[in-house]
Amino acid sequence: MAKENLAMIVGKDQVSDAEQILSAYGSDESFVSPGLPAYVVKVKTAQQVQQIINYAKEKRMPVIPVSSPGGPRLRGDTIASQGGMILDLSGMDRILNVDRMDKIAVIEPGVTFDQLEQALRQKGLRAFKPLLPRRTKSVLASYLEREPVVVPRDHWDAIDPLVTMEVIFGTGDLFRTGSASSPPADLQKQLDAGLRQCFAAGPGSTSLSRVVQGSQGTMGVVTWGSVICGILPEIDNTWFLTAATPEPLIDLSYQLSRRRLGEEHFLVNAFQFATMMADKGEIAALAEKLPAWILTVKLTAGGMLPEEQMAYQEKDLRELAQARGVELKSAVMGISGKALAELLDNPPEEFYKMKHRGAFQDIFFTTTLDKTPGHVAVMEEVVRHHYPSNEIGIYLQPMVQGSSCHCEFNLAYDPTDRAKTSNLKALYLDAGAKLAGNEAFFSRPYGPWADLVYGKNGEATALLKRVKKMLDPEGILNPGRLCF
Amino acid sequence: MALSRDAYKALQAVVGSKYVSEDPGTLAGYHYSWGGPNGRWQPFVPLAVVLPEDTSQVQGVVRVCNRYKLRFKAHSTGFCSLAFPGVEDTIMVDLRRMNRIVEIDEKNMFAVIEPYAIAAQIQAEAMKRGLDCHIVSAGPTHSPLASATSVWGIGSKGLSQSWNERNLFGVEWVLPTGEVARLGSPGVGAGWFSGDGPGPGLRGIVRGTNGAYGGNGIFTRIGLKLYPWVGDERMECTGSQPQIGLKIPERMHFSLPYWKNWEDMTAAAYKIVDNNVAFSVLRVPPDCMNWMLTSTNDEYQEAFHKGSVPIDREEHLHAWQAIIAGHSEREFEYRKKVFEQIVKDTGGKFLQLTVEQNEILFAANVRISYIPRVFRPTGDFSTSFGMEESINLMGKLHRTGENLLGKYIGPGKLPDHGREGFWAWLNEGRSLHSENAFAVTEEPGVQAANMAYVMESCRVTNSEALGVQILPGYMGIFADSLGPANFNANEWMRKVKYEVVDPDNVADHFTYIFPEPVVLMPTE
Ligand SMILES: Cc1cc2nc3c(=O)[nH]c(=O)nc-3n(C[C@H](O)[C@H](O)[C@H](O)COP(=O)(O)OP(=O)(O)OC[C@H]3O[C@@H](n4cnc5c(N)ncnc54)[C@H](O)[C@@H]3O)c2cc1C
Repeated sequence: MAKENLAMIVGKDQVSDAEQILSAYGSDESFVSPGLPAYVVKVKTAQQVQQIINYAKEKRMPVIPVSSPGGPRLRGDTIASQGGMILDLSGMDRILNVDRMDKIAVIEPGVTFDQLEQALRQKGLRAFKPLLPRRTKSVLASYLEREPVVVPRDHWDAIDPLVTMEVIFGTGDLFRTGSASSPPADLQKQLDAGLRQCFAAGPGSTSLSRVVQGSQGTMGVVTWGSVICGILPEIDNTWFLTAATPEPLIDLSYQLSRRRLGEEHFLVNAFQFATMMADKGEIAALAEKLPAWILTVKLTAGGMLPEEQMAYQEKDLRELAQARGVELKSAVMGISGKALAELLDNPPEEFYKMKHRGAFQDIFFTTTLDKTPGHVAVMEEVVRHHYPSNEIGIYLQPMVQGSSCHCEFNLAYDPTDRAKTSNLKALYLDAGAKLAGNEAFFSRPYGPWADLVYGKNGEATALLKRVKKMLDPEGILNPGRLCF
Repeated sequence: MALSRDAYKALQAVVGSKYVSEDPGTLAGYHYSWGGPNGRWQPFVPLAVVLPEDTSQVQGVVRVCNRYKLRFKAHSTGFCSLAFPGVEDTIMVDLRRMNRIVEIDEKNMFAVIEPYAIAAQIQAEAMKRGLDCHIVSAGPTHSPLASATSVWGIGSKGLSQSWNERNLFGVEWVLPTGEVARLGSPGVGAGWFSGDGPGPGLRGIVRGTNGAYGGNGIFTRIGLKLYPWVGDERMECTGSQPQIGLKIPERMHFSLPYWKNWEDMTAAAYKIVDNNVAFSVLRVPPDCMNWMLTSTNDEYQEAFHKGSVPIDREEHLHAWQAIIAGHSEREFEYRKKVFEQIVKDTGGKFLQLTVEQNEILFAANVRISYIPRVFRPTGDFSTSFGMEESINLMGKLHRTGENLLGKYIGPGKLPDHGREGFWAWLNEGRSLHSENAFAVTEEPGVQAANMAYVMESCRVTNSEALGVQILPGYMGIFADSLGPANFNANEWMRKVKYEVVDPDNVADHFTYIFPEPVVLMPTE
């Protein structure tokens, strides 16, 4: 019955309850328990999304929005732990506008980074990306999850690079945020009038886009969003700064943030660098030969006097590095800055974290850069005797122009080895708890981390539950996630 | 109603008897407000004013209000024209004793502040550490905490310092129910560097384009983003009162380029942004600059009638005031050179000012001291067309605003202080902030014209597709008029207030959202 009703909304071919289709969503790379949806429903328009939500509300049927057109899915947040339907938005994959002057694009949720990048390049623009996203990753889903982008200088606020959105709440109401909420309601007419959906706050005394962001699909379903983009540079040079300990590079990174010098800018340890750059089977060998810590900085120039711009930036960077006894290198172990830049622009087919042992778990949270050596020490202590500490990949990404930092530990394992898998699971939970005790802020609380944060944060959690009730009174949107 | 003795004693028990007052002379100060919707004396006198010392006392006061069915209204510096009771039976919570800069995290570039730490104080401390604090155009005496949580937060250094909706990190919030919520990283004891998460960002119900103006509780502590400052640790003042300037530091430069029309000025703006060469750019009407450059109204009038004001209403209509800054000499030289080239390529010229004039305008841009001068002509002003959208709309915004304002100027209506009041700057280079500020007086005819003009400007900005309104903003009586055109934002505000935050309506709703819709004039 439900199937027929859903088919009336989206068409018969767009609803499936075939086991093989459902099972693709039943489990993922995380330790979150598997759970099968009853249906996978593919939508094409906001109107369909709205009708589906209204139907699901009436039937109290869970709706789990999914935007990326393919896996591997990583965080357990799209597993139907209470049945219901996967609302597959990947077919909504139109790029609705790209504006060179205001450096902004309007995209639907199924648009991937590859697709966006291609469209932007034709207009002299580039997308702000997280570190080597998987090829099938939806841009809007990534931004909605607050995945950090590798260009901290253009990341002014946690909501960036997302600006405005059209969203359908769990109530069934269609809403627009920021300056996209202003008349005329028709997007094309807005564009024709010169409006560019380029202001994120509001409307009125709420910024509900902030509530939708980070909500793992529990508050509303986004049907398009505007996203800021960067200018494609005319010249770019990627440099490595290396050191035996992270401290001098952390100090340098703070200076880069203050000066907004460099676009791509992040800090990794040798194993992380090797995992990104080496071929399968050669990761450990490369990691051994690399300097312990590597700060990557991509200087770019364009516009009116690109050569002069590049020249002053390089001199300034060299001076900053010298003052800290750090050398500027155009290559490490034969890997050039150019090669890394190319990889960042064109992430590999295979998701890089799977390369080493076939599976991985990453533990990540928000902190400040100066606290990261302390977190590394906690992590090393946790893995002692359980996991080779020289095989932890560490990725530190300054965010919000350097005022905070994404800290990530990557642990690879062989999923066919049951003992190692269960060992890693224990370690993963233990590390989360110990790091949280060390002031790590699990701001994106997937799976078991939700319990780490929501219990500690009583009043804010109660407030959040009331907001959920306001936006999704029947609790149909992705139940079982966060504190809902 | 008078305050019951039980309630009075309960308040005394929370804050100490010295810090509760019912003295009529004292209370008068809390229902006087410039530019309020009812003239200067607002109709409701608070029952008492209390001065809590810390968050737990604020919480105590709010609990007393709940227990005795009183309302409360927060008050930081009170400079904004909205810090008065809008309803009966209100306790004013004056936060002046909570005036600490708790911490400046120099490396991570943020400050942790209380409500009465004012912008000037934070800026002075920040500059000692090579940092700067965003100051809204209200000027250095306002509370950045109030601005970031509860009001607007826009200011002319937006190009390099964004605005306070985005500069807000961790938040400590005494809810109208009396509970204390800590949003973001402080909620789990991890520091004040983030206000979003875990999971959804509750900053989105604290505020939007504007805050709740006290209608959703009391904010007692926040993390506030700071920005790099390349100027001196201690700025050197020049001139003498009231014509105070600031010595322009090394690696900083102030100039006033102007163009023939809005289109060329807009083209220059895009190039400035794309080449990342300016610290700030600001457009104010020529008259405003002349007010800055003359020390009294008389001096201004005399110069104006002689035709000797430095900034000409016609020739210098399309002008940016620009500050260029560089972290290194090389960066500074590069930026200055490119900036000059941009002005040339877009057909602009530089207006030559004296050193003293440059220093006065530079100070006005760094310390944000234009506003006192805007008060000077009539002692009061109002604003409209507070838009935030694409830079390409600049010319259209100006023309539409100018035409509309013209209709309301005249005898018995708005005073004639120049034909336009267009302020504009670039926020992060990603959007244009614009508004149309104009002089008003207390006379009933003027106030009526003000109200009619503001409402018409809301209608026109909607019908002309000029973007989303920040000013005059969704304040109480306006919310239900503005909201329907913005996907019923007013109804979501109502739900946030009465379903999520304040079910018993204990925080004064007058400047936020009424329990039932109040439609002044439809703006669609
Ligand atoms: C002349 C003038 C020009 C202005 N220009 C601008 C401008 O260009 N840009 C801009 O953004 N703003 C402007 N403003 C308003 C300005 O934002 C506010 O004055 C300031 O940001 C808030 O600080 P305050 O100390 O004045 O707040 P107050 O006057 O103390 O309070 C302002 C409002 O916030 C509420 N409030 C205060 N503290 C708290 C708290 N701790 N918790 C909850 N609610 C609280 C009050 O109830 C009141 O409704 C202007 C104001 C004036 C007077």
